Amino acid sequence: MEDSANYSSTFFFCTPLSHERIIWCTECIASGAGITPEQGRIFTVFLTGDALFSFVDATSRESWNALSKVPSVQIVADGDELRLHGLCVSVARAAPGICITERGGGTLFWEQLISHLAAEWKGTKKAAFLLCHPPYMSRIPVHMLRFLSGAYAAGLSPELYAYLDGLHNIHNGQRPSEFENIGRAIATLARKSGESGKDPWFAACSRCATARGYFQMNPGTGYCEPASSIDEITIRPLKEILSRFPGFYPILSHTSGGIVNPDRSRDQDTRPRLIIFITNPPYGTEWTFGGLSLALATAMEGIPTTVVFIEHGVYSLYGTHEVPPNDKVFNVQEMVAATLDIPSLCYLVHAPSLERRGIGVEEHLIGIREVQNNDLAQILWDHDYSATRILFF
Amino acid sequence: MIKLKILLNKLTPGDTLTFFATREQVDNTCAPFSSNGYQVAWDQEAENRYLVRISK
Repeated sequence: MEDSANYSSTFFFCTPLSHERIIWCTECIASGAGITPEQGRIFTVFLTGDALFSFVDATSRESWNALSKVPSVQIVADGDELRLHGLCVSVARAAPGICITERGGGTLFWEQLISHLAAEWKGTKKAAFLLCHPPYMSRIPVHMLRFLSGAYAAGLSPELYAYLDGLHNIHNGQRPSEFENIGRAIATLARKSGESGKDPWFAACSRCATARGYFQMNPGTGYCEPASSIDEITIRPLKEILSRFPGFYPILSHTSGGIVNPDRSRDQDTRPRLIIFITNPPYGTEWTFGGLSLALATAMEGIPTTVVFIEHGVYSLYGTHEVPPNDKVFNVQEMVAATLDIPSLCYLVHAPSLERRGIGVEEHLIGIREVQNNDLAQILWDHDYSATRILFF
Repeated sequence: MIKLKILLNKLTPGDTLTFFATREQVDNTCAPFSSNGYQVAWDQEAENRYLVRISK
């Protein structure tokens, strides 16, 4: 890494972290950070929820410890969640370089994260969360609420983008007997923000809403209308949601990151580019289709977009996929091949993920460049963009 | 959008893809192709029904 650009990078993890992910993530961050802080690069990693187990897992804790010793890297763990999981004492003992937030009624970690992001995305008036997980089965909507409530308390306008299974959060009439009512909390936050003069923007993807029955055709008018959804969230085409993305503000998701060049944040063109990591196998879930759809839509809007097939995501490029005649599923390889000519869209594949699985890229997709961890670090940090958003699918 | 892109990739130069779409589909799925090397045109046929033509 020869470039000496000044960057502030933040990563956020709240889902389980595999050994494989920790290895490539920490290698990339260490490569981007160099061994001295002279480059003016700051790296901050925030962890909460199930990601915290990686601090005690014997296969991954050493990677965190090594990374925490890099002078320009700070790792922040959610103390309240560590205590919930019974991990606080063991993490404090095993990983002394990790900053654990104090006991704070579930808010201190989020206050610290928002204050950090507000300083990083200088001048931002809003903060957003791309929510792809359903309520109750997943705790991620709770993390989303803590984040957006914290953003509101810090004077920022909250924005929520419900996508994929995140759509189920908009269902009206939720009445959990034990858990926090996610639907009601979202509605309250949206109302409260609007009434206090903020500019909240809560939206749900119309394709995902239609698939799940929250957006139904009215045969009388020929138009789709919301069904069984809370009023405070507007169902919109993905294109409209992505029309927010050129704005200079942080967008978090269950696993995400952001890189900001403070020297460039006052430039006229501060449109952040987008890097999407496809980490799941192609057909078992909607993750790959959802990630590729979002990447295509942002690239078509002229936002520089890079898709990296990594971890199990490399299976999308392996073998020759043939969709059976009666199976209504998109051929992922056909999706990739058909979009190789879009100027703002670039596809990459993570070579260590291919090597680990002992597989290669299918012949007709061989033009997709293979990258090592140091290449990935260069792609992330050696560039002229004012900002970069990183989303995992 | 992906379905449309796949269909457009199969289009031979000079040919036109013609289909009916709603206003929302015209604005959000078809129109973006006009800034990505395609010619996109549409005519309103009914209240929420448009005849779209896309060519390379």
